Amino acid sequence: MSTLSSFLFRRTIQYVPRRQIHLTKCIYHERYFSKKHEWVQLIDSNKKTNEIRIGISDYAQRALGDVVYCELPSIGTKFKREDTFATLESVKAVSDCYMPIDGEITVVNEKLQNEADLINKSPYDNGWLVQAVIDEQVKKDMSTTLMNENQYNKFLETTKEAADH
Amino acid sequence: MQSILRGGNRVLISRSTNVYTNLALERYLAENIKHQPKTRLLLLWRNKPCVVIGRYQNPFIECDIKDLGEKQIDLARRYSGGGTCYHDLGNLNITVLTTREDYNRKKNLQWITSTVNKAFNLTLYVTDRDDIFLDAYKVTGSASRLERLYAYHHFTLLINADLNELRRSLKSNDRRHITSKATSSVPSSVLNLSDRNNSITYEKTIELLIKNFFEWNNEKNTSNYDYIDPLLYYEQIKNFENELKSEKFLHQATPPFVYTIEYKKQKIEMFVTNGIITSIKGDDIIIEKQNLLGKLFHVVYDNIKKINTNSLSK
Repeated sequence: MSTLSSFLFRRTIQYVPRRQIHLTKCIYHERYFSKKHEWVQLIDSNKKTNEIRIGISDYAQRALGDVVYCELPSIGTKFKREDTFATLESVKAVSDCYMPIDGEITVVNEKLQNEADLINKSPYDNGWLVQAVIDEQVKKDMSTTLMNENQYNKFLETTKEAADH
Repeated sequence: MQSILRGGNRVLISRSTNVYTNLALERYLAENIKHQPKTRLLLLWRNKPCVVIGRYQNPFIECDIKDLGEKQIDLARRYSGGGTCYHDLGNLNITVLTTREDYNRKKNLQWITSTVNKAFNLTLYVTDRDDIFLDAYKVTGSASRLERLYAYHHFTLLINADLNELRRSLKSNDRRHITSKATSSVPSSVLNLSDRNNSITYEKTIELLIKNFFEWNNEKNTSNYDYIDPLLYYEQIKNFENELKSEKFLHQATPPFVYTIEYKKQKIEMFVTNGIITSIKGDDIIIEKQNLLGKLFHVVYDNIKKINTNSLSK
């Protein structure tokens, strides 16, 4: 964008509160959810590999309460589905996060080091936990091994979990 | 012997008073018991004098490590979150272990308060931080750990602990030197239950809780309680116990922090990650940077203190 148009653009979005406009090269796909309330989203970042982003759902962040600390894995670690890949501490409970599918960690969200509560404020955007590469078969199976948003919302309605954590 | 891992509504009382053994036992039971839905395991335990920090805390902020060593007070990091507490034989530890779905802190705390209030004529209440208070004083602090298949909520109950020793042990002069994102403790004024009702003892409290536990769970089998000597399960728990005892877990599991000292009016910052000094900012002619970079912080800690006091005495 030219300087003038980006200036004008910024001015306009100033007056549009609460709407987040992503100016990135990434194209975002549909989100899938696990029964443990993690979400997975394929991201295209100009590479030929299948890379995904993983975070926890809004339901999960509300159940946890304010996250005060986040322990993330090292880049390069390979995990299988249901392995613990991260641990969150929130209001005195330490809880593990489980890999929704097999993958190898490529990026961790460094912002969480100083702002662990991004997980609460923005569980689907800035509060993402890690990025990982997955293989083709795992990517194809995502729609069968995980739930899409509609299925997840239905699942939530039938879940009767203790709400106070 | 392995029937110790059977599921159902049960009470176990540990005969050990070693904090590392008890924490290891707790984790071993949590990971290996065949948890049945809608049932609870109650683990009752107490420790010889020790200070226990939460999983993501910084021991240098919470206590004076050298002082504890001199007084032979153990220092341990637990697997659950939360703040720092002081234990001694007058402090009862209670763990409620359930399946992940049945985890419910409020229910556990409400059970304790109503049971104790009724039996001992007190007015305990649960706060929104999941502490238990008696008037303006804290008698219970909580912490939890949630895993895929199980969850445990453990909490303390001050019966007749040495409160002076508690206050002395939870002091640190290093707080102002440290900047970090570690979980901070929220200090409170404390009180022993026996201060309000001097007929309350550890033994009486245990008896009360065992009896009442089965009622709470609508359990007909009221003899399902055992005293357990963790030494008999040494082989099974030794990995956890060794981890809990290790300097590595105590010091290298600390979240990253910056330790700042003043030397000749200059600020020197040491960046510590995983317990290791990874970089030092400040005038490097003055201090022996080579002797500190890459070293384990807790090992060179005394040298660092000397630099700081030397500069102050000038």
